[in-house]
Amino acid sequence: MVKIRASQCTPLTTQQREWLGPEWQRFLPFVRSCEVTWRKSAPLYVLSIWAEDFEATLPKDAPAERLPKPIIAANDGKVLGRLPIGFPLDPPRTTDVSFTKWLDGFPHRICIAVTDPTVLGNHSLVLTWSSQEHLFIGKSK
Amino acid sequence: MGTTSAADSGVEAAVAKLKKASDEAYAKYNSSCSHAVWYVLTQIVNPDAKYKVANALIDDLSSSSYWKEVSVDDGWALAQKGIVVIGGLKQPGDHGHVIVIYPGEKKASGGYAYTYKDKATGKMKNDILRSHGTYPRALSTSQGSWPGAKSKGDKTVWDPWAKDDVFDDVKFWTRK
Repeated sequence: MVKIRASQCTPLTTQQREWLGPEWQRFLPFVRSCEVTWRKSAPLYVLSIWAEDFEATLPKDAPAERLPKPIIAANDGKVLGRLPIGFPLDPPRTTDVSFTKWLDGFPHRICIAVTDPTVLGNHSLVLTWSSQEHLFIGKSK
Repeated sequence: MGTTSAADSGVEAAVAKLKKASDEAYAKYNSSCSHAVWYVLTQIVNPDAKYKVANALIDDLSSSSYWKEVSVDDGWALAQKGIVVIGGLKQPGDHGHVIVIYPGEKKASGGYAYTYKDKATGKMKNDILRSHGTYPRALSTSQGSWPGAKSKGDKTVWDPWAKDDVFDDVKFWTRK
């Protein structure tokens, strides 16, 4: 199991900035890249907007903005899926993301533990690798 | 003129009754959403209404021949006339949550403090939840401590769940 550590995520490289589509452009200063590797596997990346940093730039009473959901990218920039919730903060929720079920140097399952203070309570979300679609798929919301 | 005034005063009385029942429900059942909704039902719709937990109440409303589903905006308009509109979302394996639309002008969601653990530093932080739009007000109570689920008209119907794509699944019902 490989758990993403938010403290080890880094600003985007120039190459990674080119992976992201138009809806990401205004958020680029707030996007971090979290490398996911296990033993000698080729790295995957989770690219996510640090919601706290972005919201800190908004006027105090400004409404929230819908942020693009984090993407899971291969080493060549190919998008392999999206997390259904922000990482590490999707106000008011926080998330822990783990890549599990590694086979031949590739994870086949992503587990997201959501710390949720609302009436929904803490819960888990799961994405699984579809070798047919070449995507991590799971709950659509 | 006289007829209009009588109708107006009838609506005012109905709204006042719904507010009073909601406020009493909030005071009596501050830690149980299903009891709070049940209390409003007994005060306005049916004095003999049976108590049901949230998930069971939502099942009943969904399949009842006496209740119909309405949009959140139509529900707000009905609440402005003092008509009971129940909202809810089932959570299989958990409690689910139910609310009543509280009469009054719509208001911005969010605006209250919450606490979270910063994943990078491990420190607890405080922030104010930003608005995710304007919604009808809610009567909502909860056994949990989430401030968005404690409302006697000061929070909105969005706030108990505080997530746009989850709120899309919240349904509203009123009597046929």
